[in-house]
Order: sequence, then C-alpha cells, then structure tokens
Amino acid sequence: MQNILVIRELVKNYGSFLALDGFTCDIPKGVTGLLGPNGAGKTTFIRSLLGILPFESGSIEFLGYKLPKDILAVKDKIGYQPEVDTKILKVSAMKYVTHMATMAGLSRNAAKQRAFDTLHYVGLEEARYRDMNDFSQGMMQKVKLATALVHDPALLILDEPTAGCDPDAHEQILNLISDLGSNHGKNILIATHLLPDVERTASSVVIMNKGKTVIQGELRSILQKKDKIINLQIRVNGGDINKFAKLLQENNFEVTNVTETISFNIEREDDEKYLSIFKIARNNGMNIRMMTAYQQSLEDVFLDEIAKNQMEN
Amino acid sequence: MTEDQKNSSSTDYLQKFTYRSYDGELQPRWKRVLYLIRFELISTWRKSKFAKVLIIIVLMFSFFSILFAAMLPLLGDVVIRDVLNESIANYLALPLTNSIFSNSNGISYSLGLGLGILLIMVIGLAGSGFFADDKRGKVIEIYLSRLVKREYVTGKVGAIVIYINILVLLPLIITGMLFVQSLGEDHADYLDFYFGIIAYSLLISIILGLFILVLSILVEKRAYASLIFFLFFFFGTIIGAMIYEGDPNNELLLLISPSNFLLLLAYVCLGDYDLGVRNNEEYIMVELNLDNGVGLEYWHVFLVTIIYILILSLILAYKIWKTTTEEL
Repeated sequence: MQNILVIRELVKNYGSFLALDGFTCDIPKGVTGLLGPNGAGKTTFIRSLLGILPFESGSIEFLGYKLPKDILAVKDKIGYQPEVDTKILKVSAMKYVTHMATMAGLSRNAAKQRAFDTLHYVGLEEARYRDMNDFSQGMMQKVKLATALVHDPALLILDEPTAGCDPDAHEQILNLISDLGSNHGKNILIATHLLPDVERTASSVVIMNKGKTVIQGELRSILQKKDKIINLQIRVNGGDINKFAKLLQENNFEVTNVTETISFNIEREDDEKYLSIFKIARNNGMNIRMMTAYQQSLEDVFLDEIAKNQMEN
Repeated sequence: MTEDQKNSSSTDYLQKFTYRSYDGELQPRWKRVLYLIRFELISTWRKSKFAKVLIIIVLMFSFFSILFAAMLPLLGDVVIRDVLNESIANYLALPLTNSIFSNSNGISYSLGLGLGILLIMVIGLAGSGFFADDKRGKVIEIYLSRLVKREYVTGKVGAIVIYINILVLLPLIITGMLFVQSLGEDHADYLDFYFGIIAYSLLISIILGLFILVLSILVEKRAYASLIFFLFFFFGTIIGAMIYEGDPNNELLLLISPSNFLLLLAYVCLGDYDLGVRNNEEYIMVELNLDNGVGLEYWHVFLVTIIYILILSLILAYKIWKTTTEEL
C-alpha cells in the first residue's frame, strides 16, 4: 500500500523531556488510528507535522514533500481538528469556518460556499448562523470537523474527534469519518483514546509509547498477529462437558475455562490439533455443536503491547 | 427526459450537500494575511461596545476639530506652522502634567484636538484581545496549522496598525488639509507637513500597536492588557513628569513620560525642533531646542523610537516562537 506519510527517527525535546524519541512509522493511504497512552507523543508528532513545533532531528515526508523545507505546501494539504474546543468570541459557526477557509487559501466567495457545504455535510445546517460559543460539545466537534474539511485537504488529522460527545453525536461523527474514508477516499489520521472508534473506522494503526512506535500495520494483521495462539471456545452435546474438558487436558490441551463452553488455547495453524478435537469427540460419542475463536479486540492488543513496551524499558 | 435523469434532478439538492471535493485555486499567501487583517478589524469593532462608544466620541471630537479648522482664519495673525504642528502633536497627548509646545514664547496654539486619554483607551480596548482572545479561545493552534508564525503575527500587527491609523492618521490628515485649505495656502507647499503626519502616525501606530500586542500575548485576559496599557500611560506620564521636574535641566528626562515622548515624536516627525516646555511648578516656559547639540536632540527621539520598536518586536517574536503547549 502506498504511504502518504513517511516518518524517520523523529526527535523532539521539551527541555530535558524527550517527547519524540526517534519516532519512525509509515502511514498508508486510508484511515489510520494513532494510538498511545497520555504523554505518548501523539499531539507533539501532529504539531511537528504541521510545523507548529519544530523538531530537532529526523525526517517527515508527506506526499513527496519534505519537512521543514516544504512546510507551506504541507499546511495547504492538511486539515486539522484539534482536541480542544476552538472558539472566537461572538462569531457564528458559518463565519468561523469561512474565516478558517480563507486562512487555508480559499477566496472569500469560495470560502463561503465551502463553509456552507461542509457545515451542511456535518449536520449543522440549522445551527450554522448561531453563535458557536453556545454550542454543545457534539456540535463543537462537528464545527471543528467542518473547519478541517473546508479546504478539501489530502490528509485529515483528527485529534480525539468524538471526545465529549453524547452517544448520538458520537455515532454521527463516526459515520462521517467512515463516509469520508470509504466513499470519498479521504486519508484520515485519527488520534484517540477510544479504541473501539479506531476499530470501527480505521484500516491501519500506529501504536506509540514514550515517543516511539510500539507496533504499526494493518489493523487486521495486527489483530491476527496476536491471534497466532488463539483462544478457542467449543460446546458439545451427547455427553458431560466436564468429561470432555478432562479428555482434552489428557490430550495436552491447555484448558482455561469450563462453563457452558470449554475454552482452551491452541496454535492457529496447528491443523493436527484441530483434527484431534473432532477425533476425541467422535471416540467418546459426543458431537461438537459450536467451535469459535475468541476475537481479540484492539484494546487487548493495545494493553498488551504497551505493557510489553513498559517492561522492555 | 429519462427516468434516471428525472431522479437525478430531483436529488440534486441532496447531492449538493454530500461531501464535495474542491478543485479551485488557492490564494497567494499574502492574501491570507490580508484576510486575517480584515477579520481582525471587523471582530475588533464587533467585540467591545465600550470601544464603539469611545470611537464615536473620538470621531465626533475630530469632526468638531475639522469644523474649527475651517474657521481658522478667524484666529488672526498667528504663526501658521506652529499652530499646525502643535495641534497635530497634541492629538495624542495626555493633558496631565508639563506639556511641550511648538514655541518658547508661552503661547499655546493647540486647537483642542487633545483626545489622548480617549484614544489610549480605545487602542487599549481594541488591541488587548488580539492574542489574549486567541489564547482563550484556543485558536492559535488552528491558525498555525494553516499559516506560518510570521504570517500570523504580520496579520495581527497589520490589523492593529491599520486600526490605529484609522483613528489617528485619517482625522489628522483631514484636519491638516482643511487647515491649509482654510488659510488659502497651496497644498504643494505643505507636502513635508503631510509627510510628517504620515510618518508620525505610522511610527506611533507601530509603537502603540506592538505595545498592546505584547501585553495581549503576555497576559491571560484582554481586560488585564487594556488596564495595564492605560495605567502605563496614565501613571507613566505623571511619574515621568515628576522625574523631569526634579531635574528640569536634564532634557533627556522628558523622554520618560509616555505622553511627552509622543509629543516629541510628533514635533520631530513634523521637523519642528524649536520647542518650549512648561514647568508646572514655576509656571514658566523653558526653551527646548532639539537641534543645538546640547541636551535632548531630535535624533535621541528617533533612537528611542527605534529601540522601543526593536524591543517590542523581539518580545513579540520570542513569545510567538516559544508559544507553550498550554497557550496553543
């Protein structure tokens, strides 16, 4: 997959604190989740990419442009939605988005038209002439999304795009992100703590901790990588489930739990072991009614990888 | 029309508001700075009701000054150039303590344009929000994601300089031209006078603009910046005058009072070096020649102006370049 962002050995200090410690990653086209605990360096990386904070060393290449040399071209091609609420006193959403569109280089007429369209697109058609200082958190997130989108950037950077939203607004924003990614081919980088949001919208992830990349790649392959040893759950009929669990243990299966189902760990690629499960059942007059692998969530992967990274350091 | 075409036209409205790409041209970067200046000027007018009232008062006073200028021939036989210079210089002076006059004969020719207190209040109220409001509204980060720091700062400085010039340059140049017109003089003979007004307006708009912007970026709330700005001029003028009166022989001490400094800058820009200072304790006029090689000289005033501009610019640049993550 073609990369839109190539970051190599990025270093950024705040005095003696190392915020980015040789951060290296490739961000492919499509929707990517940027994950990490508080203080991992996500916002620092975003600000370095936008030229707001200068970095000490390393390189960032965005669509062939190199930073900091090509910062003006890079700024024109990125739309940024910051985590914090951004407000200008006594200004309507329409005026705010129009103004930010002119700051991104649109003419006044084009800016007005685009502000009108994008506010409508994010679902603020009714409220666009209201003072944005009276907006709810969900509406503010939508104004910020419209602001990031208004100049039709090649890359959208969304920092906690659903923070503080009620369930309805949360759902609407995730739908908008999915729509932009799937139907309009937008490249989106989502920095968030809400891992289910990333699981739902992103196709790849970068997990960082203490200014370094912990793991990166396609979401599916990252989840699969973890699944090399999978936790299998089976249900049987035609006999006692405890007896079947005992038979599995006798045949060197590592049974972890027995309730209505039996859970045990098994290597994903070990076909012989799978066959032996059916053999044990058949030899003891039992039938396997259900066999399913426990699905690891991104949260499991995240917590595991961060814990591993903490221990290594 | 086929059924598909009919359906398509009936859904045009909906289609319009799905996400659409933008294929228009982007404006050159200097135009974005102009857009920022325009936005700041409009929002400054919109934000403070008190400032609006003050601006209306200032414009009304300026209107009466212009009327007065039209009646100038009624003044009789006075030194025209001294009248003009003194009137221009007193526009921004705070009439609190010792004043500087365009002659040393004890006669004040000022036509009553002294709107210093009001103008300082208006400038303080207008400029105090330029950075403080952005910090409070957390929009600096959004601006800097689209503009580079120098464009952002240029937009802000440009806006405050234009704002101050609307309040200072326009009334002064109109009044000056009407003075000359009403005296039946040829405008061509007064080009240096007009140039002096422009130079003075430009310099004080840069100094006052940078000063209020520095306060705006240093403090958390716009109200604090306005207050500090006004108090600096008010008490600075009183304290400066007291220091000068402690040692009236040291002409350089005149530069301490902000009001006197603005007066001196006006006279120097207008090329008037033969001045007089009123000593408030003894009620006498003391001669002040800015081109006699003794004490305060005209180039001292320019030098202090340049130093002020440099120091304020450096503070502003440092604060913008070293913006903390909390301020973004």
